[in-house]
Amino acid sequence: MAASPTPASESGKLFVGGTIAVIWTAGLLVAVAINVAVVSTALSVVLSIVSIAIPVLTILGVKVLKRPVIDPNAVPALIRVVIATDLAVTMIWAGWAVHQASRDVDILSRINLTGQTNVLPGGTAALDVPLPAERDNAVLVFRVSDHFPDIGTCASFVVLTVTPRAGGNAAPPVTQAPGQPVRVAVPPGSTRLHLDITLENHRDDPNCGVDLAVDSAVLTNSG
Amino acid sequence: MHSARAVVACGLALLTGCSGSTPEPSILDETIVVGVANDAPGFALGDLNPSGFDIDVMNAIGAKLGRPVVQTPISSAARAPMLKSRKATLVIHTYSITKGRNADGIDFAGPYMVSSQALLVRADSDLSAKDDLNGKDVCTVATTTGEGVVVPGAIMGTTGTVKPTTRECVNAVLDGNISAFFTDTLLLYGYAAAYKGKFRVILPGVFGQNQYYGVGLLQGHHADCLKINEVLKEYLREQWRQDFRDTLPAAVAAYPGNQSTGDFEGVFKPRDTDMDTLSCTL
Repeated sequence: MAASPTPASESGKLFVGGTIAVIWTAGLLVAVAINVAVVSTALSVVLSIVSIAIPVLTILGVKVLKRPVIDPNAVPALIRVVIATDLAVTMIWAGWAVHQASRDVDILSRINLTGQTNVLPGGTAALDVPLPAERDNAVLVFRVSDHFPDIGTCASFVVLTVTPRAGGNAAPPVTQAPGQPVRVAVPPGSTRLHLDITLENHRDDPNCGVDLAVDSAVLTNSG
Repeated sequence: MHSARAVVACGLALLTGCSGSTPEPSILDETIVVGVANDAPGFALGDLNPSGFDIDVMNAIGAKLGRPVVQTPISSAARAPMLKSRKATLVIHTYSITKGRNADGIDFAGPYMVSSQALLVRADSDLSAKDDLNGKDVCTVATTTGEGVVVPGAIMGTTGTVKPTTRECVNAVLDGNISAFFTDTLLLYGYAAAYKGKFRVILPGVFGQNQYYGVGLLQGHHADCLKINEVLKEYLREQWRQDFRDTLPAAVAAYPGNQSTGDFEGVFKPRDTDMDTLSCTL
């Protein structure tokens, strides 16, 4: 005759199951915190499913055993707490995942700008940047300063024409004054952004050399 | 921007416990002492009764403000020191508006003239193209914007520590001691007119940047600066073209309005946006 499980052993199983659920929940939280890549997103999904499944299975286990456990009144409350925690974490994760997928991504530090020194009217600088995330638009703010700062009369007459290029094709150019945001559409699936920036001097001074820099650059879904 | 400046000033006054803001003292309420050149043909030439475009601008400012003006002849190097020592109220002396001068405490009204930069050579010189200047001596004047410009291949400035004046550069070219003199195109047209048949002005706008001549004044007189701007706007509309014709005939002849050169007014007259962009920044 098989020995029937004692309340102590059932209590132990419940404790172990609950502990595992809590650990999974903590793991899920960690996964949420580092959720920036596809792999960790998938991991978070798996963890969230497991973290919900474990307490549910624990409940089923108790029901299958059909034995009184530590305190019949305490068990449902304990299980509710664990499930509520998992649900809360799962909801937070979902919200966080949505936020991560749509938030603005700063790409300033990744930008490679060439030909940006002593650019004369009609001259062009090139900007190239790998895209760490997929967004609808890139918004950049360019700064122009006089190459000869002691004279300093060139920069205020400069206008920028920014032409995005993808796969060798030029998109419609955007004309803007320095210091104003330039918004360019990023084609879906793009892994790099390339811009040709032509500087014009509307005072017709052919020797007005200026230096070009990028003050801010973000990928965004807004606008 | 000016209202923001006023708010900041009021805030500072409150912080320092001042009882109220003191109005900025005007430098245009009494006789206006104007530093001018006396050796710049076309702009200001002569000691007793100097004449030229700068003198016309000076007289227009005095007339439109209803104030007496007194000119005092100064060198290029003395322009900022005269303002700082308050020996001159204004400087009208082919004085280019630059950030460097702003940083040195000099504000500008204007501009009332725009000039590219060029080279003055003897009329019989064979210099005419950029490449001709390789290995040639080119004179520049200290404390002018031409001093910092490099003509590729040319030997800029002079050897030694003595920096030449405008007159010395002109004479050096005239005497054949130096190949060319680099400075503002309009100044050179002034010399070309004064020394008829002796000089040619070559390569205008090829080297250097546009120069925007302003009326220099000491920083801290923003309201006065704006007042002079209003006078200059009126001057540009009503009087500029005729005064230019009268004082800078060589430039008028060089820019007669044909397709290759354009009209002198389109080339040398400031635009309204120039004044909004460049002047009264301090």
